[in-house]
Amino acid sequence: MDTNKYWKGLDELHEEASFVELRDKEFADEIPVEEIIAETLTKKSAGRRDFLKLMGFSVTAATVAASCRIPVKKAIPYAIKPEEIVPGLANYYASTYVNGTDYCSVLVKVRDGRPIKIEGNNNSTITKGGTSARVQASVLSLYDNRRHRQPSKGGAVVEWAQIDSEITEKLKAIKAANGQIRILSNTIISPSTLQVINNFVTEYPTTKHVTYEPISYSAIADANEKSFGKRAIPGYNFDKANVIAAFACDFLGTWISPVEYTKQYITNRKVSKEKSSMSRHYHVESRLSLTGSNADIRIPLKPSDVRRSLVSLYNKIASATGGTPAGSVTIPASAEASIGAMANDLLAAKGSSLVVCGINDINCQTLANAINNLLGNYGNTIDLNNHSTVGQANDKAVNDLISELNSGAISAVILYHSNPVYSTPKGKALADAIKKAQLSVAISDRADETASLAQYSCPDHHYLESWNDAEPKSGSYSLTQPTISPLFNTRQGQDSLLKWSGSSTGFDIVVQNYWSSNLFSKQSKFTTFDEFWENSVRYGVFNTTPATSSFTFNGDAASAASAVSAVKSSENELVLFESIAIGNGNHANNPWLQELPDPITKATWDNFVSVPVQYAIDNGIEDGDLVTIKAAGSEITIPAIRQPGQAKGTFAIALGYGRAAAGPAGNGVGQNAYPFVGFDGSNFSLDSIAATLSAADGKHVVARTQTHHSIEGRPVIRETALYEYKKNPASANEDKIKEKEYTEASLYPEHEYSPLKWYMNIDLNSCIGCGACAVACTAENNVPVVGKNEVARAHEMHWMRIDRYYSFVNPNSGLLEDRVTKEKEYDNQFSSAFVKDYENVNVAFQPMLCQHCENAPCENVCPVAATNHSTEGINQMAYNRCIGTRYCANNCPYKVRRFNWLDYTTSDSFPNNTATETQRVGMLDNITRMVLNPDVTVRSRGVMEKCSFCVQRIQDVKLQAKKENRTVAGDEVKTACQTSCPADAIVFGNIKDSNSSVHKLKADERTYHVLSELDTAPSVGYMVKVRNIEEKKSNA
Amino acid sequence: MLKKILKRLKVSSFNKASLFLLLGIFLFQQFKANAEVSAAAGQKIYKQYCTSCHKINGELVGPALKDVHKRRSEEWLIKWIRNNAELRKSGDKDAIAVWEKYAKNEMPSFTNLTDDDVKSIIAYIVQESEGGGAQAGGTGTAGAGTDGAQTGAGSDYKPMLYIFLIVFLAISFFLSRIISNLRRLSQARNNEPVTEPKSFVQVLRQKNTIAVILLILIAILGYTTVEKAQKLGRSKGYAPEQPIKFSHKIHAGTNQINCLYCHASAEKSKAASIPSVNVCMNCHKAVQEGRSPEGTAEIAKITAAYNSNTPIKWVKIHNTPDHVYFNHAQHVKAGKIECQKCHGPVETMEKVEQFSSLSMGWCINCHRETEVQFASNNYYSQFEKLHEDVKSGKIKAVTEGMLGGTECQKCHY
Repeated sequence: MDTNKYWKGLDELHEEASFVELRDKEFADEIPVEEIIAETLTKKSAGRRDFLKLMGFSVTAATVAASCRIPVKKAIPYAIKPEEIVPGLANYYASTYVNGTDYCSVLVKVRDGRPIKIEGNNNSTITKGGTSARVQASVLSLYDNRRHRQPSKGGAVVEWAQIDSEITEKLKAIKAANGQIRILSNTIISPSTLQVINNFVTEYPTTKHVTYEPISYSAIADANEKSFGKRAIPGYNFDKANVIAAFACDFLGTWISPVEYTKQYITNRKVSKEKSSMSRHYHVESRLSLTGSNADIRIPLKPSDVRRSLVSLYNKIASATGGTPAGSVTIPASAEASIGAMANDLLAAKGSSLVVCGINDINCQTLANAINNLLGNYGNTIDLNNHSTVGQANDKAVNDLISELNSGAISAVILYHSNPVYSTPKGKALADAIKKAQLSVAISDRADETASLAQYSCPDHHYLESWNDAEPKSGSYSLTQPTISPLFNTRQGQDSLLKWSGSSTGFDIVVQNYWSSNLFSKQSKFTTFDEFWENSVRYGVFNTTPATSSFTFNGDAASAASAVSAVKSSENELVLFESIAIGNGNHANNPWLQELPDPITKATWDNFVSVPVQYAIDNGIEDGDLVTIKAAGSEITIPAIRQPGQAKGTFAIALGYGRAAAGPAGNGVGQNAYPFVGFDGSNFSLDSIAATLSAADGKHVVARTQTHHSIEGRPVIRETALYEYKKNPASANEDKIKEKEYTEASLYPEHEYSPLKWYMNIDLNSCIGCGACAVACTAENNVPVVGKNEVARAHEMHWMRIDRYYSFVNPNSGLLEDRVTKEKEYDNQFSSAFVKDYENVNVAFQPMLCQHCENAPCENVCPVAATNHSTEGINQMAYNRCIGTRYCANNCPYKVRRFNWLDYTTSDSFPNNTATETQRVGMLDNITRMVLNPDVTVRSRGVMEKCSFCVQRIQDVKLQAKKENRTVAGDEVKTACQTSCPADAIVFGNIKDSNSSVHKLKADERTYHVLSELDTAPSVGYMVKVRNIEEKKSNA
Repeated sequence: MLKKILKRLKVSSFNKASLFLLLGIFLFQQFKANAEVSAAAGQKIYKQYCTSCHKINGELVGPALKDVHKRRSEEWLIKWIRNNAELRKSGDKDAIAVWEKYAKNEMPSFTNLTDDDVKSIIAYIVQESEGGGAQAGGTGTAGAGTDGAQTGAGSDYKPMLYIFLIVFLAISFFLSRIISNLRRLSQARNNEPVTEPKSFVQVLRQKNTIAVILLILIAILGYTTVEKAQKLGRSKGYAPEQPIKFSHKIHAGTNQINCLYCHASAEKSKAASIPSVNVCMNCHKAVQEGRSPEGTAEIAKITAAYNSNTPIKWVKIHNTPDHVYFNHAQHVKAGKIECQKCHGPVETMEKVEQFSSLSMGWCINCHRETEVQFASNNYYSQFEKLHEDVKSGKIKAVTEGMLGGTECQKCHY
C-alpha cells in the first residue's frame, strides 16, 4: 500500500500559521454574524427600531418585487430561416484554431448562430480530437469587448473605403520612390495567406516579409538547416519513442505543438494488463515545468548546466556508438550519474528513442540533432519529411528590422498580428522607431501596445469569423470556416492585403482557388472540385503524403559541443518561459485563462519569480515577498514564490504578463519579463541569463489555489512503479478489496438505480495536469469568473480542479523503496537533511470534481433537500431550491462544492449588485454573455453549485436515443472534460452496461476510489499512477 | 353508449348500417400494417402535407379535392403528387391546365412519398368525398375538444360547492332557530326563566363569535396570501396583442393545418419555434386575400416582412423561468403528447392565450400520471425490471414518475 507523504505546498508541509488557520476553517472568511448580533444587542434602545426598520425594508422589498409586472418577452423568428438551422439545436462546424504557432483542428458548437463551445476534431491526424486550455478558451476571445470595433486612422474612426484608398495611394508612392516596405507578421501556417503576401510582394517588390514569434523555435530550424540542409522543424513521433530524453523542453505544455505531442506521448504511457510497457521519460530542466512534472526521472540543473549536460550525453552516446566525443564537461555528480543512466537507456532503445531540446540555441540544437543521429532516430521517431511548418520565425531578421526602422531606412511597415513593442527586449526603442516610418499599418484584433502606435488600424476578424486554411505539417491541411457573422465592423486581414495589392478577389475565393489548383489534384476520391471542397469543409482536414527525400547529418557536433561547453555560468541564472494558459501574452485578456490556475504553482492572475526553496530559506524569502530582479540591463520588482523542484541557482519568470494594452482582464496583471530576453547574434535566448535578486519592500498577494480545499493529508493519491505493477497489477491498490467490506458495513440503505448509472474513470497515469478540462468545464457549464481577489479568498468557482501533489524523491536513487513515507518520517528514519531536499520532488496530478457519491455526505445535511440522489446515480443540485446554508460544502470530504458568494453572472433580481471584479474584467458585458450555454442555468448569488456530470449532455443523448427508437450505448455520453482531454485520461459512461468502457475500467486492479474508507461510494474512479523507474538493485 | 351517440346524431337506420360498415372497414384497416394503403394512413399524410394548400370542399391555394378520384386516374394523381413539375414537363395537358388555372402556383414535389402513400391519400379523399369519414374527422377534433371540456368539468364543482354551502348554512340557521325556539318552549313549559332571543348585534359582540370570525378571516387571508404568492410570476390566461392578428382558429381549426407544419422544430428541438416568414409565405404567396379587409391587411404585413427581410417580433406567451429546462422534442416526439394537452384547444383560439399554469405542480402532476411509450419505444427496452412488473401485472402501466421523471435534474440543470 502506498503511503507516500504528499503535500500540496510548502505552507502545508511546514504547517505554516496561515495554512493552519485556513485549514481549520471550512470557509476562508466567516460571516461576522455574532459580531453583528452582539452589536445590536448591546445597543438595546435601538434594537426594536432596527427590527422595525429591517422589517419595513423587507416588506417593501417584497411588495416591490411582487408588484413588478412580468416583463413582455419577444420571440423573434428568422425572416427567412436557413435550412440547416433548427432553433434550439446545436450545429457543429469543422474549423481550425491557429494562433501563431498554436494549431488545433476543432469542431465549433454553434447554437442559434452563436459559437459557444469548441471540441476537438477526431478526423485530424495531428491533434486527433485533443484540445488545450487555450483552444477551449478561444471561444471567449470571440466575444472580447476590447476587440477593435471599426477601422481607424490616428485614433479616429474612418470608413474602410477611405482607409483603402489612402493606404494604396501611399504604398504606390513609396513603391515609386523605391522605398522599403516590411510586413512583420507572426507565424503564418496558412498556404493561402502566404500566397496573398507573395502577391503583395509582387505588387510592391521592395517588400520583405519578416516572421516573428516572441517565443520562437528559430534555433531548431537554423540547426536543421546546418545539419541537414533543410530549414524546418521536424515532425516528432513521441508515440514511437520508448525512451524520451528532454532538455528544458516543455513539449506537453507549450513547446511547438503540445496537443499533438500529448496525444502521441500518452499512447505509450498507458499501461494495462495486456500492455504492461510504457515509455521512460527523462527530463533535464531548471524550473519545474508541466512536462518535467510528468517525467519518470527528472534531473534539476541550472540553465547553463542543462546545456552542458547535453554535451555530457553527447559524449557518452558518441563513445558508445563510435562517434567522436567532444571535450569533457563538468556538471554536478548526481546529474552526471543520471545522465549516464539516461545514455544507457537511450542506447538500449536505438531507433526508438527521442532526444528533444527546448533551448533556443543553435549549438544545443545541433548537439541534439547529433545525438538523435547517432541513435538512429531519424526516420523513426523524428521525421524530417513530414516536418512542422511553425518554424518560420527568424529572430535575426526581426532584430535587424528593429535597427533598420530606427535608422529610418524603412518607409512602410505593416504589422500583421505581431506585437513586438510588448514582446521584444528592444520594445521601447521599437515604439519610437515605428513612428519614423512614413506609413505604418496594423492588422490586429485590438489596439495593443504596437497596433496603437500605427497610423492606420485595420481590425481583423476573429478566427471564428474567418475563412482560412492551414498546413501545420507538410502535407496535412486543414480549413477554417466562419461560424458567425462578424460581430464588429472588422475585415479579414488577408482581404485588406488583397485590396491593397490591387486584387478584387475575396480571400475566401483565394483559399478555394488554392485548394482547387494545389490540393484537388492530390486526391482521387472526388471527381469534381465542388465535391472535394464540400467534403474538406465538412471534415475540416485533408491529408496528402509529403514527398520523401533522405537526409544525412552534416552538422559539426564537435564545434557545437565546444560552444555549448563554453556557456557562461553565473551564480544565479534566470529562465524565462511561456505560460501554459496565456501563452506569449496574446491571451492575456481572456479571463478564463487568467483564472485557470497554473498547473504547477496553482497561481492565477499573476506572474512572479519562482526561487528554489533552499535559496528562499537561506535568504529569508517568503511567498509573496517583493524582490527586485536585475538582469540584462533591466530590472523589475516582482513577488517571489518558493518552488519545490526548481534547480539550485535558478530563477524563473513566466512571459506574457505585464500587458499595458491588452484589455481590462490582462492590463497590469503581473510584470513584463520580455526586457530580459537575450539575443545571441542569431536567436533570442530565454535561459542562462545572469541575474541577481535583491529584496524589495512590501508584499504582493499571489492568488493561488493550491491549498484551498485541503484534503488534510488523507491518502488520496496512489502510485506505483512499473516493475511492481508487472509483478502485481494491484500494487499500491491492495486496499481495493476492502471497498466491498466498507459497503457491507454501511448503515445506508442501498439505492435502487435505473438501468442507466453514470460513472467516470480517470487514469492518473494519463493525466498530465494541463487544465484543458477545467476550461472546457467552464465553457460548458457557465462557470463564472471571480477575479483575483476572490480567488485569494478561496472563492474560486471551478467545478473541475486539478490538484497537484508533491512528494519527496531520494536524490541518490529516485527509487520507490526510498520514497519518503509518512511512516518513515514518523519513525525518523531520515536525517533532516534528506527530508529537506526540495530540488527532487515527484509530482502527481489529480483532477478533482464532484464524486457523485452513492452515500453522499452532502445530501444528508441539506435542510431543504436541494441536493439529492437521482436514480441514475447523479448527485443532483437544484439551484432554485438551494437556500445557501453551505452545510453541504462543509460536509463534503472532497471539497468540490462551490458557493456563489457574490453575483458573478448578473442573474440576481437586483441590478447593479454584481461582483465588481467580474464586471471589471468584462465578463458581464452583453456581448461576452453570448458565450453562455443556453442549456445550463446561470446561477445567482447565494446558491451552491458543483459538477453535474454534464447532465445536459446526458439528457441530450437520452432524448436522441428515444427519438431514434433505440437504447443508449454505454460510451455514448461524453462529458465536456472528457472530450477536451488531449491525454484521453477521462472516460465516462453507463456502469450498468457491461459493454461500456467504464464497466471494464472500474473492475481494473488499478482503479480505486478516493476516501473509499468513508464508504461514500463515489461514482468517480481513479487509476493508480505508474512511474517507469528502475528497480533498486540489491546493495547497489 | 354508441347508440346514444347515434341517436343524438339522428342517423337513419340505413345510414346506421353503412356507418357500421364504414367503421368496421376503418377499424379493420387500423389493424392492418401501417405501410399498406389505408384511409387512416392517408389522413395522417394528408394533414401533414396537403392541408396547408388544399381543402376537400372548397378551394384554398389549390383546387378542392372532393371527388378528385373521379376527375383523374390514380396513375395520373400519383405522378402529379410525387412530382408535378416533371409531369408538366412531359407535356401532360391536364397538368398544365391545372397549373395555369391556379395562377401558375408551383405545387411542391413530394418525391419522399411512396406510391402507397399517395394511394392512401386518395383513399382518404375518397372517404371524405363520400362523406363517410366526416365523423372520423369530426371525432378527431371533438376528442381534443372534450379534453378541454373535461378540464372545464373539473373546475365546475366550484359553483355546486357554493350552492351546497349556502344550503347548509340555511339549514343550520333554520335548525338553530328551531333549537332555540324549542329550548324557549321547554323553558316556558318548565317555568324556567325564558332567555330572550339575542339581537344580531348582541350575537356579533359575543366573544365566541368574534373568535370564530377572526379565525375565519385569518384562514381566508392566509389562503389568499399563499394562493396569490403561488401565482406570482405565473400568467395563465395571458393573451397579449400580437403584431399580426394571426388566428389559430382559421389556420389550425378551419383549415386543419397540422401544428407541426408551422412549428416544425417541436419534434426535433427544445424549442417549438415560431415559424419564420418564409414558412408563412409557402401558402400566403397565393393566399393574399383575407376573409375581411382587416384580414387582408394582416396578410399584407407578412408579405411586407418577407419582402423587406425583417423578422416579425412576436410576443412570447409561454415563458418558463430560466432555471427550468423544457424540451419540446422530448414531449412531442418521444412522449407523443398532443400539443393541446399543454396548450389547450389552440385550434379554437382567435388569439392564443396561455392555457396551463406552467407551474411546477402542474408539470409534476403530469409526470406522475402520464404513461410513457414504454412498449413501443426501444429506448425503454433496457428497463427490464419494469417490463417484468408490467408482465406480472404488478403495475398496470409505466408512468414518467416511475422512470425518475420527478427528479430535480430532469428539468433543473
